[in-house]
Amino acid sequence: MVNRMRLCGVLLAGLLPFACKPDFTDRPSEVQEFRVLAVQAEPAEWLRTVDPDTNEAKPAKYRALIANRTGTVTDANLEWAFCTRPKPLTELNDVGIACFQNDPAFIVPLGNGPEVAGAVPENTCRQFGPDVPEDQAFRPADPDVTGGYYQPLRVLYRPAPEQLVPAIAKVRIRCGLPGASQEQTARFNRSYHLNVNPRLDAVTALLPTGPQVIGSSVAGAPITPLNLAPGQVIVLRAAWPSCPVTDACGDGVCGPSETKESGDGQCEADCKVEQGCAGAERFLAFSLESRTLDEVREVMRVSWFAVGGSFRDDRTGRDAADRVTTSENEYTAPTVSGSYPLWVVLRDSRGGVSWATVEVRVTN
Amino acid sequence: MALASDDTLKRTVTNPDPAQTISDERKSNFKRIFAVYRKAFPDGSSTTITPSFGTDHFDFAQRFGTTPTEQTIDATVFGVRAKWRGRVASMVVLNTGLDVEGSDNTIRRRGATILPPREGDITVFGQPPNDVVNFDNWSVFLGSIAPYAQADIELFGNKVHVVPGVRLDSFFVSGDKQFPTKEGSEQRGYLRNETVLEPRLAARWALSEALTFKAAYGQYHQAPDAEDLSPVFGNPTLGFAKATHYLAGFNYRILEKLSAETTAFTSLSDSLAARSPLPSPTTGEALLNTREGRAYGAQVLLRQELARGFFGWISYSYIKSERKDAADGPWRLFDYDQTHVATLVASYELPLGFEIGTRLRYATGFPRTPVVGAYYNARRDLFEPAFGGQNSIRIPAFAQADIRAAKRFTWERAKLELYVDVQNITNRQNREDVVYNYKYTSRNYISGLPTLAIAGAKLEW
Repeated sequence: MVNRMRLCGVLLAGLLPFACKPDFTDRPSEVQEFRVLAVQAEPAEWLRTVDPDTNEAKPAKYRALIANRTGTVTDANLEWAFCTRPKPLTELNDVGIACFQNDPAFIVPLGNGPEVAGAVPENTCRQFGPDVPEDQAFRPADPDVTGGYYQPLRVLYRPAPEQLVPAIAKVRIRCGLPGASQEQTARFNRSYHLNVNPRLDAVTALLPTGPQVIGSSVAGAPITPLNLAPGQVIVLRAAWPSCPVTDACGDGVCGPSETKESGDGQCEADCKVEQGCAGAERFLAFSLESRTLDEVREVMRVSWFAVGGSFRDDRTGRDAADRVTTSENEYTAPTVSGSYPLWVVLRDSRGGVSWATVEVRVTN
Repeated sequence: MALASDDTLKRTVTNPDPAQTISDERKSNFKRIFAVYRKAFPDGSSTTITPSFGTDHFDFAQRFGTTPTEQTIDATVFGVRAKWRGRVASMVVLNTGLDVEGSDNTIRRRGATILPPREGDITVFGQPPNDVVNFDNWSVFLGSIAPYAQADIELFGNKVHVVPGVRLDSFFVSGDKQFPTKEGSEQRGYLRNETVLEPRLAARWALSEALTFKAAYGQYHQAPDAEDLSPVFGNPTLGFAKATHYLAGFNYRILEKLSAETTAFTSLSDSLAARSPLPSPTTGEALLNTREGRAYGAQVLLRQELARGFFGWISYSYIKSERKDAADGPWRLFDYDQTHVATLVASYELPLGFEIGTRLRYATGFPRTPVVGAYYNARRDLFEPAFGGQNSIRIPAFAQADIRAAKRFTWERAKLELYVDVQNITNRQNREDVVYNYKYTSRNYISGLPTLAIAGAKLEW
């Protein structure tokens, strides 16, 4: 791994304009122990819908990518639970630390196993969103930069009796708009489409002999091992689908100006059953500053993980203005022969996620 | 007289990960114009009037990935200070006057409610900010009118001075918003006034030609900051912070130019603004006047005035500053508590216009809250810390030795000084803050500058 020198210079915090910051040798892309690398909800955004047959909310499915030095842990007995306690303003983390207490007052168990299914608690948009009842004077939760609200989902993994790997996932929840007009709310309800998880179409190794697809998040796609020489440096590329930059009825994607409802923008072909795009989607977000509904685009991030060898960057990605649908990283193979797993995780800025596992074989 | 200043700072650290590209931009400028009118009267009394007017602009924009933290403050400020001093009786000198101050603020803020961190927030250096955002723009007028009077009463042949005083402070707070903006709802402004009486008392007693005893007591109030009066990020109904100060001590003149001074003091404050601890705060109450503070300590100072080319001083202070965030909560260390602070400054004039000097400093490190664990945040792909006891550890103590050498040239119409400052001559790695690795399992420190030499010249004419 890169052992960076101590950096003396300007730190961004402002308090320490001239100081020396030590660099730690361990990096987020190194997998040295049991780790949760990602948690996926399917569907990626929760909207409470009731099954007419059972009169109960349709469940969502949750699964996690667990890794250690030997590879992907496929049979992890994870403990899943929703946390219904909002975070106080005195805590600066994403969720309150109380979510790691087993208090039945705000911990709702979902079950154990590598995957679970369950409905998000019914009051989620009140606890973590803007839907404060008219007769109550609670401060509504603040949205994230995409206008989204999230229900905390606690994931605990115990690889050994005295070892705990704690994680928090946040399930994006479809709620109302804070302080919007009736017209804005109506338009949002017509034209905001639930997020879909991104798809990692291909992880490609750019070899001197030509590109070789070595992984994908598509279920059932074959994993082709990547053969490298010890210490060989190559470029890996992650690719995701291209999404339309303008809406056209019939293009297979229900865009932010299209709706299944009658009237302006009606497009039954794309929206009768909402067709999402598994790349950087465009969507409607309510701006608290201009108090308008704006069309924005997702930011895509790629996280790279390795047991052996090293990546130039721990994470790469494309911001919202960048329409390129790939992201590249340089990988240096281990110097010792053997088989090494790599993981590539693709995230969109609305909480969607997918991943691919890659095998690297280092031989002399 | 007029003063003006304009500063801009812009920094960007790019990253292949768009969520980790960081930028920081700050702009600040102020303009002030003020005048001073002084008049001395034949009876020995005098009056001074100082009107002032100006504008302030402060713009802060930080971005961590796509998460903004922005605040812009535009303020028009004005004030008048008028005072009169004169002997009203054979043993009484009266100081009286009127302070009038006002600031009309327009503020725009965008970002997380919890940023930037406030005193009492538990965080670690470099921790990525929470990515929730909100927005507000609001206007606040803060004003105060404060007549005051202070009588210096000389007793026992001028050996004892008793100085009772009183200040009647009338604060005005007026804002344009009581509630967060909501389409279809009419916004209501507000005007609040609070008038407080602030008694003060000071005394000096010359116990001998060399030894003087001193003591003082006072009550003080402070209006809330305009940026804390947002119905979204703060609380438009925030009240006034209060403090009561006590001090007592001795001055002792050991030699003609060598003196010692000791002072013990305590300060009790309450109604300080703090974040609401509730999981679901009431609308418009992100901040509450719930924090209490206390500080106590003592200072010893030994000072040598310039004599035979030598001057210097040595001081030591012991100060304990604590805060309590709720009435039934425990006391904790103030974020900026430095219990022990010692300073030695010495300078000696050599022949031929040469001068050498040194400064030695020692200070207890600031308190910090230890990280005792961490969990993985799968949505943001980062680890977040779990904290132990608030401010229960400290950054290691700061100590530094600096030296200075100078050569002066004096001509009829000009003076030139050439100097060399060498800071941190021992090259000590002073710890400035605590940092952690990405998963909060290793702790290290940001260290200050190594030995740094600065050469310069100063020309006066």
